[in-house]
Amino acid sequence: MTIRTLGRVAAFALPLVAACAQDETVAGPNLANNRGIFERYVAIGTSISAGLQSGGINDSTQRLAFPHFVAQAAGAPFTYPQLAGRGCPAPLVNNVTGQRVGNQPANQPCDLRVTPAAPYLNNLGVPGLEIRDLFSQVGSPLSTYERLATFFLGGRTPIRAVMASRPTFMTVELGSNEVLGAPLASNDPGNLDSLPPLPVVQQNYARFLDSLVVLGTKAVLFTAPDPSGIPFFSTGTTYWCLGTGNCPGIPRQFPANVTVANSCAPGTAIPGARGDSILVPWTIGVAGILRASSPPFTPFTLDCAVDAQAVQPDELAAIKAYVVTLNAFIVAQANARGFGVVDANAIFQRLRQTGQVPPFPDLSQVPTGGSVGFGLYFSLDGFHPASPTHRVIADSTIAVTNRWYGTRLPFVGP
Amino acid sequence: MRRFPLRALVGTAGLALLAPVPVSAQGFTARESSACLMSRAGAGVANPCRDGSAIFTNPAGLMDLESQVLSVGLTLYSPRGSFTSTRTGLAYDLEERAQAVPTAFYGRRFGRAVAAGIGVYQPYRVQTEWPTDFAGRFLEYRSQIRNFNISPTVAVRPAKGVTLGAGLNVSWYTYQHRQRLDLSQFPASPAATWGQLGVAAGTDFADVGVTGDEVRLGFTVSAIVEPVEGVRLGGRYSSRQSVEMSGLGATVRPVPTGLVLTAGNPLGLPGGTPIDPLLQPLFQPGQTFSDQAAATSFSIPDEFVVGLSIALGPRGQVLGEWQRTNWQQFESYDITFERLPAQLGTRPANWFRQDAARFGAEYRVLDAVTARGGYAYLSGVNPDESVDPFYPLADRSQFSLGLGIRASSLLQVDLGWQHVQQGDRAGRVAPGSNTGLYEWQDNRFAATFAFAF
Repeated sequence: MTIRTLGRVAAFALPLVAACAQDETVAGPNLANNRGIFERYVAIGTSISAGLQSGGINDSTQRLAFPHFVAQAAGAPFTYPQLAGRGCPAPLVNNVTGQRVGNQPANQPCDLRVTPAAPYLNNLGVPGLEIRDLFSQVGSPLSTYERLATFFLGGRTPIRAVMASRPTFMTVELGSNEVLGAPLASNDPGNLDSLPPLPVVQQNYARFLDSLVVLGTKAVLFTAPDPSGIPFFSTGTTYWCLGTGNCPGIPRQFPANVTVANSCAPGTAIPGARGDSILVPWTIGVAGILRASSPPFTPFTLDCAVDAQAVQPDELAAIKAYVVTLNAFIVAQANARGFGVVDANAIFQRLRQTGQVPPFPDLSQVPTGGSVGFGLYFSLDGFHPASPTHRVIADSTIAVTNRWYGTRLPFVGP
Repeated sequence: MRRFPLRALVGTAGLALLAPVPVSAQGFTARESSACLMSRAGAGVANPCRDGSAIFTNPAGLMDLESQVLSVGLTLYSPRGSFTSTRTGLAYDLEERAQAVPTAFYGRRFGRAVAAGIGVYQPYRVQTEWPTDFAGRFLEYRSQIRNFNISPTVAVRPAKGVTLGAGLNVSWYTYQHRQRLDLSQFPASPAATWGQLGVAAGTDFADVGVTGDEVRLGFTVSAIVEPVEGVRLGGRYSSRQSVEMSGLGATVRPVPTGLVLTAGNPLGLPGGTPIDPLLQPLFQPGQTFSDQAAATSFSIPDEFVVGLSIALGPRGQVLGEWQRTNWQQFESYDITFERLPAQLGTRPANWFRQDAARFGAEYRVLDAVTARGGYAYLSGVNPDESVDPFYPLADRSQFSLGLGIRASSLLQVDLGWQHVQQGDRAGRVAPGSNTGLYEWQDNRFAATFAFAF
C-alpha cells in the first residue's frame, strides 16, 4: 500500500519537477528558414563573388557582392573575409589618373584583413580563382590577384576551405577567369595560350562537384560569361565608325591624331575587313585615344590587324567555342547531380542587348578630370560588375534557387 | 530457492559493472559515492546508508553501524552532451566514453559511543572531453579537475539521540587541461598577425597540454539528532579548499597547418612557401611555444547541508535535504604560462552559489530486498558569461532508482541508476558572446558490495 502510494506520488511528481530544468535559447538567425537549405550558405567563385569592383576590393564592395544579397534575401547569416581600411587594393575612384579610394599609394596596395576574423566564412570567393586551382594553394599561372588568395583563404586550398565550412547550400561561380584570361591578356589580347586546357578544367570541376555531393550540399552553378558581353571590349567596327565618321549617322568623334585603320571596318563597308569579329580592349583603344587627346598629344593608330592591339577573329571564335563547350559541360554536370544553373552569359548579353551596357565607353567626363565610364552596370575597370549588376545576378540566383529547390526567397530588386 | 536467483543476478550485475572500461572519458561533478546513496538521489545527511558512505554524507552516521563494514563500489558515468552553434547550425558532440569511478569505505563502531572509519572516494570530479575539431578547442577541449579524498573519520554519541562526527579530508587533486592555439591570433611580423594576412580564424597550429597535482587538507563536521523515534535531523559542513598548483608542466606541440603562402604575400616570401617551417623555430627550447612551466589556482567551495528523515514504520523511510555549495568562491581558473601569452590562460568563472534539494525514499519490499528512489534538483552555477566548454552547467534534475539486496548475512549488494537531465544552456566557445546551446545528460550506474562483519 505504502509503495503504491509512493509510486503514485512519483508518477505525478516526476513530470512536474522534470519541467524545472528550463531550456534556454540564444538569439540567432532562423536557420530553419526555407527548410534549412540556407543554414550554411557558402559562395565560392571569382572576383565577382568576392565583390571586386573598379580594380579593387574593400569592405564596401564586399558587402555589395551578389552572394551577400542572396543571403540577405534568404535571411541567412553571411560572413566574409573582411578587408581593413581602404582595401586590397582599394577600388579605383578614377581610372584615368589611377587614383584609388583613400589615395592608397601603389606601393602599399593592401590594408590587410580586419581582426578578429569571423570564425566561419560564408564567402569563399577569391579574385583570380580558376577551376584548375580548386585543389591547389598556388594559382597556375600566377594571376594578377594572386596575393588575394592568401588574404581570402589564408593559405588553404579552396576545397579545404569549402570542406571546413560544411555548406548546406552553395553558389559556384567559376569559369570567368578561364574564359576572360585570354581576351584580357594585356600584351596580346586573345592569346589562346591563356586558355587553360579544357580536360583539366573539366576534371577538376567534376571532382569539386563530387565533393559537394559527398557533403550533401545543394548548389546553384554559374555558367561562364562570353567576353563580348562586357564593356571592357568594343568591336573594331565601333572604333572604326567613331574614328572615321564613315558609318551613317555617326560623326567622327576621335581627335585628328587618332587613326583607325580599315582593318577595323565591318565587312559590309570594306570587303575582307572583319571589324565585327574583333574585340578591342579599352585599355588599348581608349587609352591610346586619351594619350592622343592630352599633352604631349601622342598620335595613336588602332590597327585591328595587329595582334597586340585586338582580339583577332580566329581568337574570338576559339574563345567563344571554349565558352560554349565549358558551359555545356557545366550544365551537364549540374543536371547529373541535380544542381541548378544560372546562365551568367545570358545576364550580361541581356544587359548589352538592351543598351544598358554601352557599346563604347563613355569619355564625356574625362576632359573635366573624370573617369572613363562603362554605364551603370559595370565598374570602372570595365569588366567587373557594379552593384546594380550584382543585384541582377542575385535575383537570377534567387529565381533558379526558388525554381529548383522550392524555396521562397524574395527578389532583391534594383 | 529465492536467494539463488538473487545471488545470480547480483553476481552477473557485479561482474558486468566491474568489467574494464575506458578510463579516459568525460563527466561532470560526481557526488554520489555509493549505489545506495545514488538510488536516493544523494539524500542521506539525516540517515546515511549503512555501507560506510556516511564518511562522505555525514560522519556522525558511522554510529549507526552495528559493527564493522567494508564496502567497495564502482560507479559508471556515461554522459552525452553537445554544443550546437546557433550561428551555423553545426553541432559538436562530447566524446562518448564511459567513466568508472571506484570507491571504498571502512567503518567500525567501538562500543556504544564511538565509531571510526576511513574512506577513499572522489567528491569532486569535473571532466569534459570534446573532439579536437570542436569549435571551442581554443578555450579548452579536454579538462579535468578531480580529487581523491582519503578521509579518516570519527563519530561519537555524547548523549542519547545525538551523534557528532568529524573527519579529515586529505585531498589529492589532479589537473589536466588541453587546448589548441589559433594561428590567426599570433603575429606573422611585427606589423601584422597571421589573421590580418588572411589565415582563417580557427587554424590550429599548436596543442597545449597542462598537467599537475596537489594535495590539500580539509575537514568535515556533522551531527545527527533524533528528537523522537523515527525522525532524524542531520547536518554537515565540509570546508573550503584553496588549490594552488604552481608546479604544473605545460607541453606544447606543433600541429601541422598545411598552409602555403601565395605569391605577392606581405611577408615577401616566394609563392608556394609553406607556413609550417616558418613556425618551427618558435617551438625550439626556450622559445614561446616550447615546453614550459605553468600554474593555476582555484577554490573548491565549502558546503553545508541539512536534512530530515522520517521512518515509514520498520521497513522504510523518506528523506529530504537542502544543500548550499558556495561555488561563488570559484572565481576563476586562470592558467599562468611561463612564456605563452597571458590571454591564453585567462579563464574567468565568477560562479554562483549552488542550492540543491534532494528527496529520497526506500522501502524493504522483501526481507532481502529494499527498493529505493529519489529526485534531486540542483541549480546551475555559471553566470551567462562563463558558460564555456569547461563546465557548461545549467539547472538540472536527477532521477534515481535502485535496489538493495541482502545476498547473505555478510554481503549487501546495492545497485543504483540515476538519470541526470539538464536544461539547454546558452554558452560560448570563444571570448565574446554566447553563440550556441550546450546540451547535456547522463546515465549513471552504480554497484556497491558491502561486507558487514
